Amino acid sequence: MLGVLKVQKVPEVLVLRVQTVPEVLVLRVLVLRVLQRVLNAIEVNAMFSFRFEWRSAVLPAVVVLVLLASAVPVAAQPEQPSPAGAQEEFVPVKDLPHQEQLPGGPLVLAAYGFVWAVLLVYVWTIWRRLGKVEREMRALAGRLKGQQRGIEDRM
Amino acid sequence: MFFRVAWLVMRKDLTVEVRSREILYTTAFFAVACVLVFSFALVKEGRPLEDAAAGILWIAVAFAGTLALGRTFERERHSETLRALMLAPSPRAAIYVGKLLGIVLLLLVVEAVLVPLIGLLFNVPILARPLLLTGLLAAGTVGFAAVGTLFAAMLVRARSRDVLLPVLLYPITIPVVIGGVRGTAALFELPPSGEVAGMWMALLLFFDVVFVTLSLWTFEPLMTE
Amino acid sequence: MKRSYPFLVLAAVVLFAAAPILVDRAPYESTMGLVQKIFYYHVPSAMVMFLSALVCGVASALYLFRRNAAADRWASAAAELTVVFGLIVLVTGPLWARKAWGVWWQWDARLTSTLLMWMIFAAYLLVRRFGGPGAEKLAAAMAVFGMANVPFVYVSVNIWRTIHPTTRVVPTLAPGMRGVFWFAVLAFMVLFALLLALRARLEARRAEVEELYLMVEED
Repeated sequence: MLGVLKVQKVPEVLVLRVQTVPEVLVLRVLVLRVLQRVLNAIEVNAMFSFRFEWRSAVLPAVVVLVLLASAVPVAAQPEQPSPAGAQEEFVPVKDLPHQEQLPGGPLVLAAYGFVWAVLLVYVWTIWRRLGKVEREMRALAGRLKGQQRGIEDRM
Repeated sequence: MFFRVAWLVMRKDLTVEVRSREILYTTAFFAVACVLVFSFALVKEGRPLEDAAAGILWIAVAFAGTLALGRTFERERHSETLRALMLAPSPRAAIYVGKLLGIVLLLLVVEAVLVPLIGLLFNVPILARPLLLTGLLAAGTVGFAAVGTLFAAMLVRARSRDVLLPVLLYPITIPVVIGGVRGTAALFELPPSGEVAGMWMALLLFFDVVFVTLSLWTFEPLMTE
Repeated sequence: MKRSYPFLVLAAVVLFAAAPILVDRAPYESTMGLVQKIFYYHVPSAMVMFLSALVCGVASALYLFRRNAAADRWASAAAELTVVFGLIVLVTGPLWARKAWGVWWQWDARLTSTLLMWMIFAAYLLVRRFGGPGAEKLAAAMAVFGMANVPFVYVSVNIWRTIHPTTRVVPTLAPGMRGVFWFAVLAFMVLFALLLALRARLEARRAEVEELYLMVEED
């Protein structure tokens, strides 16, 4: 998907602050490329009405969602051990002592990763089914037109 | 008019059943076989697991109930009597209530066989709080059968109806089974805890009201083509 | 609906772009630390799941009682979304629970009832697929029962003593967490609206294809 995009000069519209430095540049370029495609998908004609080529915009938009959701920095923060039982409130705290039991980082990453993986796969299945239905529709419309022409010829 | 129709439908079912006793015998035997299978599966060093008695009782009721529902409506489908019932100028909800009462009675008879068997095999005090136990079983059976009758009637004309009935029925009725198991387990303890059982009974009654109401509400549009 | 697609997509993009930054900046919770941040995905997904189940139930009731075919399409779309977001809830929850409670799963009232509700809507999809003709009505009945389940699942954590946090957590969030949380809720709701519209559009297209088939075969 990314290999197909061409590099184009676009004004910088979005800057992300990400902790690891080398990824900042890659992420920025990717975001701008995808935004470019999204903006291309919206055509404004002379009558000031939007004709939205949604098909070419949905997938890049979702890729943006996915890339940005995965930009959560995984800091290896140490945590306190947790007690059992139902909680009534979440209490925030500024500093945490250096004590590690089960690293929470991989679990958080796995959860975020799972969320965007599921959403991506789901949008892709809708995309695929919609493509199939539209192909069928075009085929049927063609057949219908052919039939009508056949009737007209006979008359 | 409503209750007369319901009574007539139930009497019809009972008359047919009393003559052949087919569903009663097969369902009861299946329930007993279920109890035995689970007893063997959950036994350790010759003794069953704790609290297994209540769970096994309700599992057997749920499985036997699904079977009974399938068989009852298969019989209707075979004789095409369901269509005749639908064509009759009577309120559809009354037909539903009639069939529900028939199924509940059948299951209560099966339970009357199962409970002494459970008492025997697992050495639990079934006679300690008999009224509460009966109440729990009745409330749970009504809740299970309310949803079951609706879905079994709906599925009469559907494809793969045998497999779809459990698929549709269990996710909705598992809370009823949970309530029944927890309440019955409280009654099978030594000493039996009437309070806890009473609490679960209240929950079962709540489910009964909700399920019967929803089923009565949706029965007519579902059965109309 | 077609006109609002670009705005919905852009809104979703912007919201999800900002979300990770905000989540990162949110304060840490004292007993659970980093892993609590799954909260910002887990609870909004659960809210979307409930909303989707309600939409499905209402649309199914409309279909059953008014024979509204469009309502049936919306119900089908909403049921699929209930299963998808329910899956997210049922996976992110145990991932959080592994650290917070020490176990992946527990049979308490909230977890059990959520799993059962998810199964009801999964059964909805199965029936629609394999039920044969007239399966839409069967599925609609399932959805009505599923919708009745939603309030029960919600209050289950308040009535019974469960290991799952109660519903008092959200109203009593600290200011640093509150903003991020409701932002995440907004992002998920926008995403839900977009996905629901897309999916319903797919169903509408399928219905059009059916009609075209009939027209072609008539000649």
